[in-house]
Amino acid sequence: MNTIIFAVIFPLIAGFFLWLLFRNKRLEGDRSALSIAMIAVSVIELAAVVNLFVCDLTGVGFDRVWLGWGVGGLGLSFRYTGFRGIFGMQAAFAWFVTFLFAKQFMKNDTRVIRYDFFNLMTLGATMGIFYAADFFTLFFFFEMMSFTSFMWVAHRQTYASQYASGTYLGIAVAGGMAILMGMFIIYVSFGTLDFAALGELRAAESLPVFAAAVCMFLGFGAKAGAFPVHVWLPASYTEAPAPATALLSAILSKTGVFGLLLVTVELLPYSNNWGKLVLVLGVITMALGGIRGVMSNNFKTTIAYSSMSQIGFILVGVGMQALTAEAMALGSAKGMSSEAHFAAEAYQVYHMAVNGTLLHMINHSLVKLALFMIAGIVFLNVGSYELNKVRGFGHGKPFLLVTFLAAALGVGGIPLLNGYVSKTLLHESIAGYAEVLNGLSGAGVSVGLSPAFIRGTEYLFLFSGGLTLAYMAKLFVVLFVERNEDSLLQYEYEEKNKYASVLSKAAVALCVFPIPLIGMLPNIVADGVAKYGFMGAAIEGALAVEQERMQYFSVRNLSGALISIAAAVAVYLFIVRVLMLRKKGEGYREIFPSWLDMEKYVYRDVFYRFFAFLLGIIARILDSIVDIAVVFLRKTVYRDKALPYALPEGNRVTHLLGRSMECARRFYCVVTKKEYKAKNYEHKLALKSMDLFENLRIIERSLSFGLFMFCVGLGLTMIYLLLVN
Amino acid sequence: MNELILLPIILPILLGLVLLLLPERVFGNRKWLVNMTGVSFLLCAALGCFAVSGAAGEQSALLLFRIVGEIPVYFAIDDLGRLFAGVVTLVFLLVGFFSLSYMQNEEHEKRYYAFYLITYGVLMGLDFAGNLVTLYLFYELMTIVSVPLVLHHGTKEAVMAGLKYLIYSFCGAYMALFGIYFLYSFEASNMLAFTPGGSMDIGRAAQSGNSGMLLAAVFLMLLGFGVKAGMFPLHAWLPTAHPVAPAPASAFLSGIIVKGGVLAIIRTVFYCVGVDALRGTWVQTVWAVLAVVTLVMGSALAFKEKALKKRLAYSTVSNLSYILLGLSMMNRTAFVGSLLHVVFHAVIKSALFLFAGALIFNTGRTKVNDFIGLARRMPTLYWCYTVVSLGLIGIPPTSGLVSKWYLAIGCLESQMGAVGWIGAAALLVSALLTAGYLLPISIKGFLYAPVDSSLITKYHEPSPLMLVPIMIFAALTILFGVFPMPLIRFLGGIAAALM
Repeated sequence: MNTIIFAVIFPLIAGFFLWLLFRNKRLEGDRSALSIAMIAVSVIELAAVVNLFVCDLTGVGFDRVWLGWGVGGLGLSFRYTGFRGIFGMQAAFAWFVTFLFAKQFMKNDTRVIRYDFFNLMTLGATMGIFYAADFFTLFFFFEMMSFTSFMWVAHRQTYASQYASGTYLGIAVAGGMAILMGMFIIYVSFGTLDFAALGELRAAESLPVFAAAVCMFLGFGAKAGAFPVHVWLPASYTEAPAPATALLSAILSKTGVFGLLLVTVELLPYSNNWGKLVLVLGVITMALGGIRGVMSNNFKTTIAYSSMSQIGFILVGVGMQALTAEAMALGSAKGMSSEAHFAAEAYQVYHMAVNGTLLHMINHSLVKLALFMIAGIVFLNVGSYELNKVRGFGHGKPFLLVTFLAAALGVGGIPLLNGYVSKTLLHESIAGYAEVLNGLSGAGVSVGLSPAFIRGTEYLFLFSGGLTLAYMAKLFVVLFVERNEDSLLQYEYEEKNKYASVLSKAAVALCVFPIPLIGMLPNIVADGVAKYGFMGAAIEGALAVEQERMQYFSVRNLSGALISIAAAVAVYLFIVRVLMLRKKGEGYREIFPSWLDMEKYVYRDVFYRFFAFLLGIIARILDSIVDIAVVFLRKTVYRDKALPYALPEGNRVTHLLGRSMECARRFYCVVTKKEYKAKNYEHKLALKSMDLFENLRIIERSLSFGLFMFCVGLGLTMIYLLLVN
Repeated sequence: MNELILLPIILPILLGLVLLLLPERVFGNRKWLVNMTGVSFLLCAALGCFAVSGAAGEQSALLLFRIVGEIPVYFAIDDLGRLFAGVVTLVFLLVGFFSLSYMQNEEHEKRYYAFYLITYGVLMGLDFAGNLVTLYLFYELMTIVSVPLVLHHGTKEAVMAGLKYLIYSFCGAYMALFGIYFLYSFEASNMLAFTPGGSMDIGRAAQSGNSGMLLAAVFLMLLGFGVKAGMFPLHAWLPTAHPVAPAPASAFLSGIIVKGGVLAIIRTVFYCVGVDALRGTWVQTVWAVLAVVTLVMGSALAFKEKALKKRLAYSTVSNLSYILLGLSMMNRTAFVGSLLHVVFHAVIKSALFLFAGALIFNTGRTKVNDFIGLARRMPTLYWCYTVVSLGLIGIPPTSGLVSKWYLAIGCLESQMGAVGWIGAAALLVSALLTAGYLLPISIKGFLYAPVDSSLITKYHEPSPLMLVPIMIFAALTILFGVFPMPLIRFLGGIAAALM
């Protein structure tokens, strides 16, 4: 059972070790050796998680694992469930294929040791997240992952990547704080952060708990890329190196979804409000991502928006889980679970939502790994992601054609490929939920959701499926159908046979391989995976119902795909062919209005600049209150007493007079617009007065001397008169 | 042998005085002075460790004498004193060694070391003070002997800052003195000794109709001692005084000396008055609100500040209020969180100021934007900085998360309703701002191109004497984050005795 701890710690140790070994080696041979070491590490990691899976299958029982010593104050604990096992394997697999791919992609990058170091750190942290048994462990590794993956986005050190990584880190830190707040509330409310314990508590929804859930949504949703905290996503996905983007989209976004699922399953299993919140934001994410994906003129950004849109689909599934669980709970509270029909129906719907969510997470992971690596291959050869430069690159490259097509159609929900399975499940859960609601309202239970709302969600769901196909069609046409306007370049593209190394091709092929497998044998592969990885709230009564075998290829389900395809054709023709290519000779243009840029105008301007400015002003005022009071007192009541000093020259009258003359002169100069030169009246008057006083004193003294002499003379005269008499 | 308590207090003061009074020429060249000072540091720290060591819960006390035959000057070593003395000794030693290398560019080195030693002795006295009077004596002494550290550069700015420091500190001390007079008249014993849970005869105060007056007196003491701890509204000296001192002195001031105010508040509230008399009164509410205001204000100002050391000083204002907020909640969890933050903040803030010192020593510049792109020349220094920054923000696996966890849970558990919630939220807002003012330095250091690439080749990793203390602080930040349990248990023991 210590394999879990091994899986978490091994990449961290390996990262440090390899960093020490390679930190000063920058030659090409060293880089190649490092790449091979990385592949070896990921193989060991993969073996470890597969070992866990096999142990579980063979029935070697395991409960939770505590990592002792109270790490971080509360201690870390891990556990294994089917869901965690699947995503642990998925993560190890994703790292393995991206390391295969990175050997070629990062060949000329001198900073590859730094990239690899943070890559392994992120791997360890991701494992920690998926195997976490409580919120504290989850948070512990989630924050680690946010910071180490920051270095992916910042890796290229260009201005654009600095900007993107700034947003990434800002949202990540803020999201982390939001999660922490949620954890505080949960811990204070329930006294535990353990998922299993929380699940058993079956907390009734209260305001603090819902606030905690909203905080968690902000944090985990940010990593997933959910509206309205998705703003970091497009730029960061575009700026990170292609293998890192593949991981960001395939695995890191799933850690966010995993967090949201834990909230849905363990914390608020029957919450109508939580379900509505996730559903509404999921629908917005899904539609917005799709629209922006169609309108983008950058190969990689399109796929990035596609990730956002697919996360929206997954969030719809998460929301439906909460809503259907609530419907079940309401039904059984009404005693409707005795009505076998209702119970079976509600349970099927719930199951579809849970399975659809899980399968779409897996499918999206596989597809995005493949697509971002294909984008990386294109970038290696073309040196740009812009559609106008990429145009025509795919001609004469059957491997690229097959893999791209499989991935694009797979995520687009074309029957016989994997996306169709998961999207069908999700769609059916929405449609089925509407029926369950009908049943409930027939029994007099109101859920507070209008049928129109569900109907609208369903249409938007199908429309967004169409958007997926539309932007994938755009990329396909650009890459494989159209020719570059520069015919020389087109010739060069067509002649290029060695456009990817064997390892890179193998990496892409490994990701594409399961796509038709899941799509063609849904009842075996998909249902099997879903059954093993089932992660749902334990709902009494309903669980006893046998799961119905899903008819994936029924007419009803196929017609949903057809609606999406029809929408796709319309959107592609109108938006891409008409709007984007409107001006001849300019090729594809970005047509999403720039003033709708939420990242720049809402987050950077309002949140970052304006609020910081406001807070700064308030803080500055508070900061200087006492100092101002001191200064005020010193200027008024406690004024410094003027030192008793003699005026250096002149007296009060001359100063007053001199100053007023100076003022008058200045005033005169201002009025007559003459250049003002100080005439120094004060000084002159002082001199004058000194002269005056000097003279006065002379006069005074001579007068007194005269008087004195006069007195003396008078005295002498008196004496003489006395003597004579 | 209780007289031994005095040794770690008196020896540093004596050594400092000797160093101060010996004429410059005795030491001949600088090396001799540095060696002697280094040995004195080690000696004092060893004594400090000796005083701190001992099983948890062990007590020893000494009545030195009574002023005018009545007022006792009384020392006692308890767990709280041990904790503070341990932190002081740790930071004293590491910052001291850093300064041995840093001060070579400064004048009046000898004077600096002398006052540094004296301050250490006085701080040990403060930590081991056994009653309010003794505490007050050493509190005032601490202010006075640390002023030369602020004044060290002797520039007009430094002198004005030193005066501001003195005026604010005395102002606060007199407010506190009033409270001490008042509390004295309701003391239960004639020793006035700190007693866990309160040494006052609250019943007598209530009978004599002085309950309201008592609260007012306690509030004045909070405000007064809060001056040292940088609590709004009397915090303005801190961001003025700390940055003008030489960097190691800033580290000591920001990491340690401000904690003197925290200690005084803990002693007053938890050891003299007792929490039962204060819980639920207006004093608690106002105190908590002031702490919340300070912690957001400090972070916001640090976020806007461009000079590195001043930014760190504002950060100190904010972080000390984390501690005060936790204390104001008056429950065990928050109390443990506060004491954890005392330890962690001392370690982290010292490291941050030493980092600033190393950069200033190397480049001679002070503004944050002067340090862009330097990390490639001094990667170890910047890595340490990154680690301690993450610690201050509270990112796992560093120590900041642990203290913040206890603080926030304590806030929410308290019976204060909205104030507790706002407090917990404010902690997180402040952490966000902390990320905003600390991380860009590291990011721009590592990932941005230097403004002046011709200059950058001159810079290099600081000398081992400067680098190793910072590395130890960084290592401690992670160590406390991963294995905090022994410390938490120790602090839990202290808290259990109080509430």
